[in-house]
Amino acid sequence: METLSLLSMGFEQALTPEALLFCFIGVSLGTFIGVLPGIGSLTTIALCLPLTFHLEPLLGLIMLAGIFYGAQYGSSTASILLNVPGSAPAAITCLDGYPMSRQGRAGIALFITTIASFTGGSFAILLLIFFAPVLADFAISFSAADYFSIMVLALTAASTLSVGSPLKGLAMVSLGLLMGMVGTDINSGQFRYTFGIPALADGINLVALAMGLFGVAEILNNLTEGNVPQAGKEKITFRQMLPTPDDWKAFRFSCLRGSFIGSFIGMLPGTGPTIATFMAYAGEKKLSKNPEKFGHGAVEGISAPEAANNASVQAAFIPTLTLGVPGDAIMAVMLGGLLIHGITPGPQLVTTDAALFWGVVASFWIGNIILLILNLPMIGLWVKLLSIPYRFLFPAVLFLICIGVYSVNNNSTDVLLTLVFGIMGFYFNRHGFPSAPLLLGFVLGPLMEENFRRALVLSDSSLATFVDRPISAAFLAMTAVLLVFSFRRKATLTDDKAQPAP
Amino acid sequence: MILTGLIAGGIAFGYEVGSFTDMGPGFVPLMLSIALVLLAALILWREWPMIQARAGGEAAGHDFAWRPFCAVSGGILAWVLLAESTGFFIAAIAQVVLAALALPGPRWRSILIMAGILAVAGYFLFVVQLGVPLEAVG
Repeated sequence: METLSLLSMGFEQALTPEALLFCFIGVSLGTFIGVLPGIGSLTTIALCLPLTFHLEPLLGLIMLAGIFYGAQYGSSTASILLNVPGSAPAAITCLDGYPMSRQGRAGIALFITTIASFTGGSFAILLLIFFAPVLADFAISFSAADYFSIMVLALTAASTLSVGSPLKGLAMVSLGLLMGMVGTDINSGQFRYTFGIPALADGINLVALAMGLFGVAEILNNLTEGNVPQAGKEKITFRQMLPTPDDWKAFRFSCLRGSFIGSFIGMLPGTGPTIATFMAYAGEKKLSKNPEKFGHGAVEGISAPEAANNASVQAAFIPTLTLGVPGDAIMAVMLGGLLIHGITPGPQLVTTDAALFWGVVASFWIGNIILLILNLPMIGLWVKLLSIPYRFLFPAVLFLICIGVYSVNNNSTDVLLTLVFGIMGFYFNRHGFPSAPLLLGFVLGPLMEENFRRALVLSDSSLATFVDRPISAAFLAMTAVLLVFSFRRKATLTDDKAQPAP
Repeated sequence: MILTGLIAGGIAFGYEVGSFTDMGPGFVPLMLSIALVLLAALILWREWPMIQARAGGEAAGHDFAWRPFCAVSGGILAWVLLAESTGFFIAAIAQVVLAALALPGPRWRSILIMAGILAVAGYFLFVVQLGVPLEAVG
C-alpha cells in the first residue's frame, strides 16, 4: 500500500508539464538516434549531460533515461529495414527482422518489436517498483567492505561477460580505475597524475572521456573502415502493420519469456542489454519446436530479444539507483551525471530522495506510453529519417561533441582531451579491447578506492574484513566463480563478431 | 588489419610506465598499476604467436585510412584552437568543413549550408540559451 501511495506521489512529480516535456524530448531524441545507425545512445546521453546541469536533477534524469530507453525502441527499425542495427543490442533483431522485411512483412515486424518493447519495459518497471525498495532496505546495512566487493563483482562481470576476450576486458577495467584516480586525492588533497595540467585537477572530465571513447571513436571507426551506414528508402503505412493471428500466437509467450530474461540480466551488475538480447534469442531458438525457422523471419526471433532489450534497460536502473553500482557503461554515465548533480545513488536514495526516485520510476511508464504513440502511428516519420545520409550526420555530431564538451567547464583542454580519448578508443576498438569496461572502471574507481580505504580504516588495516563479513565474502566468491567460469568458457565462445556494446 | 604486434607491445609499455609514474598517497594506484602490468604481460604472452605472424605480413599492406582520420582530428583541433580566439562562428564552420572532408568528393555547397545552419543553431542554443561564454566573432 505504501508503495502505491509513493508511486502516486511519483506520478504527481512526473506529470507536471515540465517533466512531461523533458520526458517527451528524451524519448523522441532517443528514438531519433536509435533509428539512425552510427550514433549510439551513450554518445547522445553524454552529449546531453551538460545540458541537464541547468535543470533540476529529476528533470535531467527523466530526460537522460528517456534517451536510453527511447533508443532501444528506435534501434530495431534500422535492423528490420536495412539489416544494420541502430545500436548494438539490436544486432540480433537483424537475424529475423530483415528476412521479415524481405518477405514484405516489415510493417508487422515493426509493430511486433514496438509492442514487445513496451511489454518488456512495463514488466521491468513493475519489478523496479516492487523490488527496488526491498533491495534498498537490504542494502542499507551494507558496510564499506560490502560495497567494495559488490563493485569488484560488477567490474569483473562487465569485463568478462562482454563479448570478446575477458583478459582484455580486465585490462581495460584496470586502466579505467587508474584513470579514475586522476585528480585530487580525496583523503590527502594531493594531486595525482595531473602532469601539471590544471584542467586535470578535478579529475578527467567524464563527458570528455565518454564522448571521446564512444562518440569520436565511433565516427573514426565508421569512416576509416569504410562502412558508412547507407541511407535507405522505405515506406511503411499503418495498415501494413497489423499482424495476423498466427503472428500473435507466436508473439505472446516469446515476448513474456524475453521480458523475464531481460529483467533478470538487467538487474545483475555488470551486464548490459546486448547480453540480454543474445540470451533471449538463444533461449527462443532452443525452446522452439521448429528452430529451422529462425533466421528466416521467425516472429519469436524478434519479439523475445526486443522485449529482453527493453526489460534489461529498465531493470538496469535497479542496481544503479538502489546500490549506486551501475550495470554498464551507459548507466555509469548516468551515475556520473547524478553525482555531478550532488545526488549519490544508493540505498538512501529511495527514502531520502523519495520524490526523485518515484518521480523517475513514474516517468518511465509515461515515457513508454509516449514511445508507443510515437512508434506506432508515426513510424513512417522515423523510417524517413533513415534517408539522411551519413555524410551530413557525422560532421554535425562532431560539432555537437565539440561544443557539448566545451560547455561543461568552458574549457578547450577538455575538447583536446576528447580527441585524445577518441583516438585511444579507436585504437582500442581496432585491437579488440572493449571500451565499456574502461568507462565503468573510471566511474567506479573513486568510489571503490573510498570504500576500500574506509573498510581498512574500520578494520584496523586488516584485509580479513573482506572475507569475514558474509555479504562481502559472498560477492567475492561470486567474483571468483565468474572468473574461473569465463576463462574456461572462453574457448567455446568465439562469437565475438558483434561489436562491444557502445 | 595492421600490426596488432607492435600495438599490444606498445600498450604493455604504456602500462609499465604507468606503474612507475605512481605518486602521492598512491597505495591504490600502485596496486592497480601492478595489476595492469600483469594483465598486459599476460595478453602479450597469449597473443605472441599471433603477433609474430602478423609482424611477418605487416610489410605487405598498410592501408590505414588516413584521410578520415586526419579530417576528423583536424576538425576537432580546429575547434580547440579557434573557439576562444576567433569566436564561435569561425570555429564552428572550420570544424564542420574540415570534418566533412573525411569522405571523398565533398559537396561544397551542401557542406557550407550545413555548417552555417549548425553554427547559427548552435550559437543560439549554447551561447544565448545556456550562457556558454564564447564570442560570436572574436
